[in-house]
Order: sequence, then structure tokens, then C-alpha cells
Amino acid sequence: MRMETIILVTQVKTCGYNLNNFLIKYMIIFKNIISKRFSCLFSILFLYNSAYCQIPVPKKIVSLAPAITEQLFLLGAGDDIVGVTTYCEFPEEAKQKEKVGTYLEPNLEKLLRLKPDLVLFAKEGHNKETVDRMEALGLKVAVLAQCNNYEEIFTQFIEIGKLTSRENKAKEIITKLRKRIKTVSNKTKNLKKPKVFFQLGSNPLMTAAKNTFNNEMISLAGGENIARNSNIRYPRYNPEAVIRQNPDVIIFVNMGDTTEAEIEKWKKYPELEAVKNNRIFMADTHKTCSPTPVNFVEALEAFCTFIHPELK
Amino acid sequence: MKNKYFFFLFLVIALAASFIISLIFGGTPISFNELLTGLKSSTGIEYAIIWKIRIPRIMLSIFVGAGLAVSGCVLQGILRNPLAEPYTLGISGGAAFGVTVAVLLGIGSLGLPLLAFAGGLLSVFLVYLIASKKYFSVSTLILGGVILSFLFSSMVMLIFSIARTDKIHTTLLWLMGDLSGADTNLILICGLFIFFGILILFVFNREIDILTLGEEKAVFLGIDSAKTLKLLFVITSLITGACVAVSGIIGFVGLLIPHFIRNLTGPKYSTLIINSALAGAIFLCLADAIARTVIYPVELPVGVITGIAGGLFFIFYLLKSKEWEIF
Repeated sequence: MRMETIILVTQVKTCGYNLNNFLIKYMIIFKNIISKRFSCLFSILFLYNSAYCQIPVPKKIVSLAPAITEQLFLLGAGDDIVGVTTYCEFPEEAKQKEKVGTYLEPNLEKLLRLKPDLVLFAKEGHNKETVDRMEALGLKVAVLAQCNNYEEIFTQFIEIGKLTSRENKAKEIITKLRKRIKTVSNKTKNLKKPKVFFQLGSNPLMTAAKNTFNNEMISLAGGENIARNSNIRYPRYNPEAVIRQNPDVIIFVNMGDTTEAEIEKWKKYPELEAVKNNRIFMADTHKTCSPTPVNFVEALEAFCTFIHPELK
Repeated sequence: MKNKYFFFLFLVIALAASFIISLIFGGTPISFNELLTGLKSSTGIEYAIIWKIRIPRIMLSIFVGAGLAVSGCVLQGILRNPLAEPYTLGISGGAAFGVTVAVLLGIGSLGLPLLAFAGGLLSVFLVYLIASKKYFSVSTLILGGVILSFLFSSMVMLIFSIARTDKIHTTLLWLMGDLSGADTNLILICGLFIFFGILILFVFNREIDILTLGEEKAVFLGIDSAKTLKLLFVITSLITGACVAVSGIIGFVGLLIPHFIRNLTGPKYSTLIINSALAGAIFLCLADAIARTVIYPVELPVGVITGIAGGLFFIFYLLKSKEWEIF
């Protein structure tokens, strides 16, 4: 028993700021085995560490995804960003930051030269090798998972807050946003649900289905996504299926074509309720497709005015 | 001789059958009554589905299938190469480049097919220039085509590596082949283009027959091989360009159908061209019906279906048939 304690103490000295997590793990494992006295000793060590071995606040952050860059700015960590991708165009200040490559392929040399103390990486669209290589080069990398609904977006936002020591600010923002979501969902809860088709690009016709935050946006805004039952998250959708399901509202995001041309394409089908009642709307592409907490809520409020114009 | 007409008749009936099958089953099946009311009426959902979505799309698949199959079959003959297909001479690369540029510039629905066509023609024009610099022959044509195809694909990759992801996505989907998006007027124009192209190629069927013997023999038999090659190359390229512009890059039709038909009815081009056109139309029409139906309402890219179904069928056929002669 004593032997183990000694090992533990030596490890305490070596493992830097990961110590707290490490200790918690050991405490849980040993709790049932060792006596309460030892447990106390661990607790003392734990407290000691929380007091003196604070996690260093990252001062040089590299963000490798547009949505992450935006969230860092939201948290007020914009000044600590030293590198972004070429796709990071929001907010305006992000364009001034040093570019470390594209979303798919960060330039590792350039990344190393910036000497970041934290690299934030989005899991979606990346391969594991890039992360492994960055870690092998001694960079601290945090991989953020893909978000399928607003809860996940919010959790991730708080996670980014934790990583940049701005947890309280993150939670504060989230609390406000939750209220706004609640307001929208309370208003739409008891209303009739119009059928909605959400168009993500028209050539070929794409939409968002089950397990996407866009789908959630539609249902929270009091609509019913006609593609909600498809198992593919962003499927190519048969135009015939749209006609058959006859949506009351069509919401599209602009993917290249002009707004008038997009609306004109639907005007070919005067049979559709959405066309008859002139309820085809363009949503802000960036806000609708870039999953940050603020974008989500703003897009949701826009969706709500499209789907339930009677609400003011 | 009788057999020849019998086969032709069979293909015509099969084409009509696939048209009807595709009309009824492509997507959610519609009942016979619904079909009749939809065909007769001029409003309502059935009408919109049949007249505005299914029929234009089936027509497009028939045009494109016929165009690709004929252009592949002629190219295989004049290039004397069993691996030749409509895209061998660099059209796909040029068209992909045109589409990528269109997507990048944000040019919408009508600009995309136009730029695809322009890109394809640009690449054809460059191949033509390269080949004309020396004696206009099969080998310079193939080399020029392959080189330009590489050049343009590399340029597309270059744009991919610096462009935004959402734009790349659009281009990638286009590259997989898509018959759903085209405008009705565009389908008509493309149909006329392909029809007259095939007609001209058919008029030249005897010259193509002779060219398959080799350029030297063709010259001895009294054909200006360079001039004929140029003409046939331009016509096949225009047909392929029109197909690519409205439907993206659909592989395998132009490679597989001519081999299949040649094996069934012999290498004589007067029958080969017509039968290939019919078989290509049937094949693509059914493949697109499958692509629309399998996981309705979600669509599969039609190129995937032609690749898988065509490939499996071709292997099976290759193993079954006793002798296998390309020319």
C-alpha cells in the first residue's frame, strides 16, 4: 500500500496540469481498496494541486474550423487567436488573422512556427493522422466533435470556454440564449405545424434530415421538416418527393445562385402550397449552416418568422 | 439479315418498356389510374410529378444514354482502342474545370451547363490544336486527350485545395453525375444536338468501318483519314459535351454498351450505331429509375448505379460469352 502511495506522489510531480484529472481517477479506483486515512491524504494532495498547479491560460490559440474561430470571438478570446484557416471569414476580424492553411489541410510547419499553446480542431472532415502528427510534434490539440443539435452546440461552447478559461462567460451567454430558445418554442408549441422543406443547394437538390441541427431548428420554430425521416443526415432529395409531400413553406440557403433564380425554380410548380401562398424564403447561409450558439438562435428566430409570420 | 431487324425491333420495344417502367416506378410507384389522370390533366400534383419531373428526366436519361453510347462506340472504332470512351479525349476534365469555375464565380443554374459545355469544348479545341500540329493521327489525338485531361483535373484539384468546402461539395456532386437538375428547355436543346450528332455519325458509318482497319489501309481505300478523323472527333466531342453539360459525368455507359452490342450484332457500324444508341438509352433510363427508387425519397448519384450494375453485368457477360473479340 505504501509503495503505491510513493509511486503516486512521484507521478504527482511529473504530470503537470493533467494532475487533477489523474488524481480523481486514482481516488475512484483506490477508494474501495485503501483505508480512509489514505483517502484523506489524496484529498489533501488534490487540494494542494488545485491551489498551486492552475491550468495555464492559453494565450496563443490556433483554430482549425470556421465555427470554432467564431465561438472564440464570442467568448472574447479573439485577441488570443494567432492562427485560423482560410475559410474563417466571420467575424470580420478573423480575416486579419494569420492563415495556417485550409480547413482540410493545415500547414503543420506554419502552425509550429506560431508556437501555439492550444490547437482547436473540428473532428468532422478531418482524419486522425493529422491530429496524431500534431500531437507528435508536441502541440496541445483539443478535438471537438460534430454537433447534431443545439444541446451539443451549447456543450461544445462551454467546453471551448473551459479550454480557454472563460467558462463563466460561456455559461452566461448560454443562459441568455436558452431563454431565447424557450421564448420561441413556447410561442410555437401549441400552434399548427406547417410542413417545411429546407433546401441546402438546388443542383442537385439537397436537404437536412434526422439528427441535424437544421432539422431541430425547423421543429423548434414550429414546423415539420418533410425530410425528417431520412436516415442520411444531408441527403440528395428527390424533387418529386417534395411535390408529393407538398410543403407549406420552403426555406432555402443560398448556394451560388441568385435569390430570384432560386425562387423562380420553384415557381415552375404552382401546385405547391408554398408557391401558391408565396412562402419561399431565403435564410442567411452563414447563420443557418455554421453551428455556433448565437448563429443557431438567430437562425431559429428567422425560421420562426418564416414559418409563423403571424407571431410578432 | 432477319436476325438484325429482329434485334432492332427488340431494342425499340425494350426502350418503350423501360420508358413506361421508369415512368411508373421511378420514385414512389404510381398506380395506372393515377398515371392516366396525371397524363390527361393540366393541374394538380400528379400532373406536376409526371409532366414536370418524370417525363423530362426520362427524356434526358434517354438522350444522354444514347449520346454517350454512340460517341463511345465511334471513338472505340476510330481510335482502334477497346478502352476508349467518350471521356478519353479530355472532355470530362475540361467540363469539370468549367463547372468548378462556374461554382466559384457563383454563376447559377443556366451558367453551370453553359460553362461545362464551354470547358469541354476548350479542352477539345486544345486537343485538336495539339493533334493538328503534327500529322492528325490517332496516336497524337489520344496522347493530346490524355495529357489535357490530366492538366485540367490537376487544375480542378488546385481550385479544390484553395476553395471553400461548400463550393467543393457542389462540384463533387456534379462530378458524380446528376440527371435531376436540368431545365426543360435545356433538355430539348441537348436532345436535338445529340439527335443530329448521331445522325451525322450514322451517315459516316462506312468511313468509320474503314477507319477501324487502320489509317494506312483507310488511305489506300481512298479515304482522307486525317480529315475524316477530324470531323468524327469534333462530332463525337460535341455530343459528349452536350451530355456532360446537362448531366455531369456519367461513366461506364460509353464504354460498356458498345462492347456489349458489338459482341451481339457484329462490328458493322451501320447497325452498331443505332443499336448502341437504343441500348445506351435503355441502360441509362433504367439505371436512373433505380437511382431514384432504391432509397426514396433520397437519391443516389446515377453514376454509382451505372458503375455497379454495369460493371457486374459486364463481368458476368464476359465470363459467359464463348469468344471475345473486340474488333
